[in-house]
Formats: sequence, C-alpha cells, structure tokens
Amino acid sequence: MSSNQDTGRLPRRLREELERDHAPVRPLRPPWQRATVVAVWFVGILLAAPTLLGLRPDAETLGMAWLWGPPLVQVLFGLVLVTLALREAVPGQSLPSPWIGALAILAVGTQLASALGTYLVSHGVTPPPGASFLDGSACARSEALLGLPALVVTLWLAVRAYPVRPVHAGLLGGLGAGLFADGVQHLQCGVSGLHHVLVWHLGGMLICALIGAATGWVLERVRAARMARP
Amino acid sequence: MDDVPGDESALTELMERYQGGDTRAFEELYAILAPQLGRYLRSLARDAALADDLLQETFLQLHRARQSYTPPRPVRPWAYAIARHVFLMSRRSRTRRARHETTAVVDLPDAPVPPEVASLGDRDQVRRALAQVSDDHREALVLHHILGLSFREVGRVLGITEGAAKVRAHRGIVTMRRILGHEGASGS
Repeated sequence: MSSNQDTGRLPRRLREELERDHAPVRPLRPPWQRATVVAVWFVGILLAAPTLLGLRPDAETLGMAWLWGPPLVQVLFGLVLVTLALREAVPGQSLPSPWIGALAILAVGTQLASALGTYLVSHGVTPPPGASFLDGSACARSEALLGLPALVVTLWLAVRAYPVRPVHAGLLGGLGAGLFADGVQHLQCGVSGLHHVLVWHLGGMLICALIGAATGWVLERVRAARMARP
Repeated sequence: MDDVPGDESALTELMERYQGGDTRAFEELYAILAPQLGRYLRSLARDAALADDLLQETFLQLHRARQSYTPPRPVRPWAYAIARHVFLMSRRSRTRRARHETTAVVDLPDAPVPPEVASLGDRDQVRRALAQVSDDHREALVLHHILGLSFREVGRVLGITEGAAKVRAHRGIVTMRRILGHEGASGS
C-alpha cells in the first residue's frame, strides 16, 4: 500500500485536482423534486395535445374514461419511471436489477392493457388499404418527437447525478418518456387496430427506451476511455 | 467485523463541509475513507498496485461527483458505489487492451479477512480461501462482514435486493468454511 493511504496525505494528482476546482457545490435535490422539470413537460403536453393535435375521431364512442384514463395512467407511470431513473443515477441508490426488469415488463404491460382495453371499447378507424405503413410511421415519428425532449431532459438530469449504471438509468428514463408519449398519442390517433398499436405505438415507446439505454452505454464507454487515459 | 473508523454522522458532516468548498474536510474524508475504500478495491482488483491506482481514481471521481451526495444519506454506500464503478470501468478498458490475455491471479495480497472465518486457519489460508470465492459472493461478503455496510446498503451498492445481498454474503462464508475445512483436514 502506498504511504499516502497510511498517512491520509493526499496524492499529488488529487491535490492538484482539488486546487483546480474546489468551488462549493449544491447537493442534488431528491429525485422526485428533480423529476418535476419533466412532469411540467408531461402535463403541459397532455393538456395542450387536444388543442394542438386534435382529438381522435372516435372520442365520443370511447367516452371520457377510456379517452383520458389510459393517457393519465401512462403519464403518471411514466413519471414514476423517470423519477426512478433519476434515483438510479445517484451513486449508492441503485435499484435491484430484477426490479428494473419488472418495471420494464410492467411499462410494456400498461401500454398493452391500454391498447387492448381501448380496442374492446372502440375499434376506431381503419386506415385505407396501402396507407397502414404511412399512418404507422407517422405515429411512431410523432411518439418519438413527443418523447425525445422528455428523454433528453431526463438523461441530462441523470448525467448530472453521476450514474454508476447509466444503461439502467437510460433504460428507465427512455421507458418513462416513451410511455408518456404513447399516452399522448392515444388521445389523437384514431386507429385502435391491435396490429397498428402493437407495432407502431409500442415500437415508438421501445425506441425511446433503446435510445435511453444506448445513450447510457455510450456514456459508460466514454467514461471508461477517459479513466484509461494516463 | 474489523474496526471501521469514522461514524456516519461525522462523515455526513465532513461531506457537507466539503460540498461547501472546505478542502480541509476533503482531506479528513480522505484520511477516513481511503483505508476502507483501499480494502474494498484490493478485494475487487486482487492486485495491490492496481488497487492503489484505482483508489486515487476513485477519489478523483468522488471529487467530480461530490454534488451527487445528498445529506444526510450515509456516505459510505455512495463512496463504495463510485469505487465499484471505477473498478468496473478500469476492468473494461483493461479487458479491451488485453483481449486474450488472462491473468490467473489466485491470491488476494493484503486482502482483509472476515472475522467469521478468521479462526479457521492462518491469515494466508483465509486469504487464499477468500480468493477462491466467486466475485459476486466475495463482494457482498467483503462489504458486509469486513467493511460494515448493512445488507440494505450492500444491495444499493451492488444493484441487488437486500435478500440477494444476504444470500451472496452467506454463500461466500459457507464456501470459505468449506475450503478452510478441507485445507485444515488435508493439513492435519
């Protein structure tokens, strides 16, 4: 063992780093408080969506409960996932990996339950023949556009906390943002067909999750490369 | 359990002063945490020189991530989680550099010895037995039995449940007892 550790004296490199930057820092707020930034985006978009994007054509058939119920559940659960992503990003606060797996399954299950329930109440509109790909890709794009800003903010907040498992934090954040985006999409997309919803809506949500996890993976690689530098 | 200096409330107070820009507090933290983190890193790295390098890198990362500590949470799980991350990052880059090289290190130089099995053999025997325990089990065993973290804290450092932490540490101790029992029997 080096003498530095025995005596508690700071090694030279560490002392230099400390002298370069010893500015006071403010401790991070708890994850639920930091998640309010994302919550504002979630609630704002959810409330503005009917005006900006319009409501789905079968809104009356669905009724208030099935029109607003699934999006509210998805937005709230999405917010829980974002909060957990921010908690996961704090060193020493890691969630057990099986819990993260269970949360991912639960998020997909919530989306599936919402899709199935809505389909049972109203089959919605059927896209004209040959237009299903265009309609579907428009939905996936719209979900990505709604979810990505929330994901970017979540990842920025997570990185500020020094995540020791950035892939896990990114995955949770991506699932949360994707679930939220799918909830908003439910308000305006009138196609309830399970093929459309399971491929394009679930696909959009999973793309958000993948982007989150992939960003975490890249961050891990960059950090490993920086540490390897002499 | 070995003597672990620096109670949590004192560490929390030091962290708060350090976050407030008091460099003297960082030096005091270093004096308290360096030996404990050094033990942990030696048990992970199985190489004293590498562990010393990792210890320095860990403190650099602790310094850069100092805003991520939220008082009055315990300081040790936060610090151990960063140390573990530094070790994993270092292992990743070393693996990439020497893709097909394997270092068959079967010893744990200067590794701490869990008191539960210390009486079953001399220090070298116990260290050799500890080196034979699987990485997962050894990590939980070292964090709880040697470094004094609660199983809940061990779970949060390793990203596993409290129950899984207990099981891993227990299996580590059982493995060590079995190895030391065999060694003792063959020795006698």
